[in-house]
Amino acid sequence: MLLHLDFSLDTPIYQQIRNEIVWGIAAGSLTPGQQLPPIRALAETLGVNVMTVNKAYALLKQEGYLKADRRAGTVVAGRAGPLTDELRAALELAAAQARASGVPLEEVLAVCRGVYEKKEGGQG
Amino acid sequence: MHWVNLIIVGCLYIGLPMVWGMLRSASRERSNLILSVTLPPQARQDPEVQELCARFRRRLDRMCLVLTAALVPALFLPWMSLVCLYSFVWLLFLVLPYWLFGRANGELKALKRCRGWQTAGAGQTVAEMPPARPPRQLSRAWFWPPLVLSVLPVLSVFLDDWDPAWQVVLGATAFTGLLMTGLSLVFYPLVYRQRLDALDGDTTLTAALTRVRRYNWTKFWLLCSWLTAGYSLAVWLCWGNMAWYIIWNIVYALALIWASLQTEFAARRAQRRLTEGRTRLPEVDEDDRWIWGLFYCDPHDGHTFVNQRIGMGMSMNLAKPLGKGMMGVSLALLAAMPLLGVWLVVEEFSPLRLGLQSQTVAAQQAFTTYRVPVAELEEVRLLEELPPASRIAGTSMGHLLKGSFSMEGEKATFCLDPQDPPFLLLKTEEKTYVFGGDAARDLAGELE
Repeated sequence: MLLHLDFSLDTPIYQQIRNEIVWGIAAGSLTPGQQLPPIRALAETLGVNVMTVNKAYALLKQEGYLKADRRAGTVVAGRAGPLTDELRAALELAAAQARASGVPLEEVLAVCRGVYEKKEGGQG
Repeated sequence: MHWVNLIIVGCLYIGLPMVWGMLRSASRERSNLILSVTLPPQARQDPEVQELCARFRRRLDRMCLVLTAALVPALFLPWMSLVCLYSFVWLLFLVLPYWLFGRANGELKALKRCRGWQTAGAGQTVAEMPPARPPRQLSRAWFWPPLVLSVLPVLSVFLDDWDPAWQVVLGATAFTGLLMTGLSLVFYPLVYRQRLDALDGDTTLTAALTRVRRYNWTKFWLLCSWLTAGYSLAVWLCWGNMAWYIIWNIVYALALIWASLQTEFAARRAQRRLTEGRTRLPEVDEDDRWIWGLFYCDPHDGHTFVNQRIGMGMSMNLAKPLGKGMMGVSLALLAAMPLLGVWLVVEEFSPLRLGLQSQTVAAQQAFTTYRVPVAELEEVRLLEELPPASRIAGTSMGHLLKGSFSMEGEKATFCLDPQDPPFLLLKTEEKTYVFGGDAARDLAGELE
């Protein structure tokens, strides 16, 4: 799975790493139970500080995308749960922004469908 | 033409075909790159790009021919120091093929912008997620035996009773050998700490390209370590024989060049086989970080050493202080080469001065002065002809013999012009000296 970082954006790097991993999980590049690289290895690969990757992993764990496994280290969490309040609020806000900007419902649905249908290598 | 000229010129000339081969090979498609510029598949087949590459190759061939011709006069110069000065200045002109490459790289980048061949990953850092488990790598145990072997000559320098002049030569060689085998052990793990060689989302290709680089880099470090240990031991076993020392130096240099070229071109061949004619759009595009396609500079990248774009070597990140420092030192060393030539010219052409100063015979030439107290002299003789002598350590040029020499089975300190007899032979209880100079005959009479 390829990770894309853009240092010219205002989005913090840890957030970009977090987003890339979420995209990877959504596209199926990272499957539930799959081991993630150690923090140091990922930081070395990306050429960023260890603390930056640590922060991204911590955030992903807090959000439930990753979990710590005593033997395997950090793994992708298997999530088949209902929509959380936090996610619902974020989706509702995104939909409200789209509606306020005059984006037709069909287009919003097409984007959502596109995300759900995206396969490995198509994220980003 | 003297054989010494041939050796000096040959040792320096060998760099040119290497540069030519590497730059020429960079003008052919490999890993989505042509002339170190990332191009999409249709652009790599574009006639304008092909013409640009062909033009670069023609210019490079012409440039290398001119540089070859420019070195030929050095073969016929009668003075060794001038041969060195000429060859060292010539060495500076080896930047010209790189200048041609940088120019072609700039032209291709401009064409890429103009034709809209920018790739999706341009301006971004795109890296393959590393594996969760560390990759299997050759055990470091393979690097320990050469390190231990190269410690032996170093111990011998301190423990055995060596001739002082040879001790310096052996000491320098043994320490350099130990440093090289030590560095191989230290730098080898860096091979596994670099980014994976990703071009796009094809993980199988990424794994294959990464294996190619790691395998060849490992092979190089291992060869370098064992070759250096062998060289150190061989020099140690010369037991002070200068001829064998020179032979082993040449053998070691040739073996090291062969090892690096063989692994470099093996890596390039494999990379080309794996990626030639690829139709998938490149996702990794780091063109903006490679100045002239040769020097890496990315302030956001924490790495000081990064993988070369092609082949298997490493490059320095010029945005890092250590990278800047190392590049500065490399450039300073290159620029200092002609100064070394100037120093040799001064050595060879400075006049010999021989005289008596406050009851001491003083022989002075360039930056060296030998002093022999008259009270210590046991024998003074004037030699009309110089007996056969071979150098142990020091300078041996057409018009200057200076340093430690072996003469008729005896060690002697020389400071003379072999073409300008007579010579003054002085013997003390501990040492023998042979000095030359205009005042040799008068001084011999005075001392006798």
